[in-house]
Amino acid sequence: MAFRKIDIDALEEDAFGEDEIEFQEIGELRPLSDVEAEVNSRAQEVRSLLQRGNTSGALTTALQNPPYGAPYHAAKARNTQTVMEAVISVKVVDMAQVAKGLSPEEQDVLMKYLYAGMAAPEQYNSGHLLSFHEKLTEVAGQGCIVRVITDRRTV
Amino acid sequence: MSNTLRPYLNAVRQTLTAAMCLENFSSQVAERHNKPEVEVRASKEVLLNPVIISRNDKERVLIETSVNSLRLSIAIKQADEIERILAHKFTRFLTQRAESFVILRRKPIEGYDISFLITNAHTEQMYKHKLVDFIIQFMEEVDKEISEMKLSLNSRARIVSESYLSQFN
Repeated sequence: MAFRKIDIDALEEDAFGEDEIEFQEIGELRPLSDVEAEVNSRAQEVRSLLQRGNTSGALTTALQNPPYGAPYHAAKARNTQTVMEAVISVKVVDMAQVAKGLSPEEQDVLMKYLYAGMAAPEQYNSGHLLSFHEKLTEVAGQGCIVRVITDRRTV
Repeated sequence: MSNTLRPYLNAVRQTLTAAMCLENFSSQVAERHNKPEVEVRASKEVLLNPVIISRNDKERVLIETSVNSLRLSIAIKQADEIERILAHKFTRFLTQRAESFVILRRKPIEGYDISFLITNAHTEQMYKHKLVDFIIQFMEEVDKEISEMKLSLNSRARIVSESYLSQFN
């Protein structure tokens, strides 16, 4: 069997591929320029809110409409940076309050970004993310973590 | 630095409890076969998103799950050459006895020092919360053991060198 060179299961018509799974979850993909423009304008908004000291508003804005979809690598990295800027600005004592103020969808998106941030510990402060993770799990429960692991729409 | 240990272990405990929802699932590729899907990785739809929990850039835990199995890989903190050697020997000691260990994987995943493979059969035979407790305790103990070994190594080396060199005094 090792001599077979063609992966016949992948060529079968009914094969359920990655793009089909994505299409089911996300639907039609928007053009790349639209998504990148949205991510950039959101980054500007978040930065101005942070400068004014409105950390919870900045976090809520940063968590809106994340760029789900395979082709948007650069936009995803940019958005992760924006969300991390907002997360770092939240002080440890305020974390529980901020977490309670988020809607369930925003809590799920935040949890996704916490894990995305922890995947790059050289760039982002893992200790801070861990404290936020603890507070968010207390508020949102383990279901939030399950949704992060099972949701095909990553980051 | 040590004040990140509690949140780190808590995060790993919560994520592990959330991820350890395993059920029996036969292979979709070969009939009458039942394989841990996280190892085979043949069908994309039974695999879930892998998740990394890190305390700093040296200590990380990678949790990959699927419908019937879960793979957990730990990167142990190794500050210097001695600790690297000790960690390597310690993990080799354990992985050579992986059969008695049941949930241990013989080879760690790339980039990590030791890996566990937990399947639905294990969760059926053993308590889930006890498995999680065991992993967390393991993570705590490994660090302690390695620093203990390093201390005893250094003190033994000092005694030996003193007694040897004293004859040249």
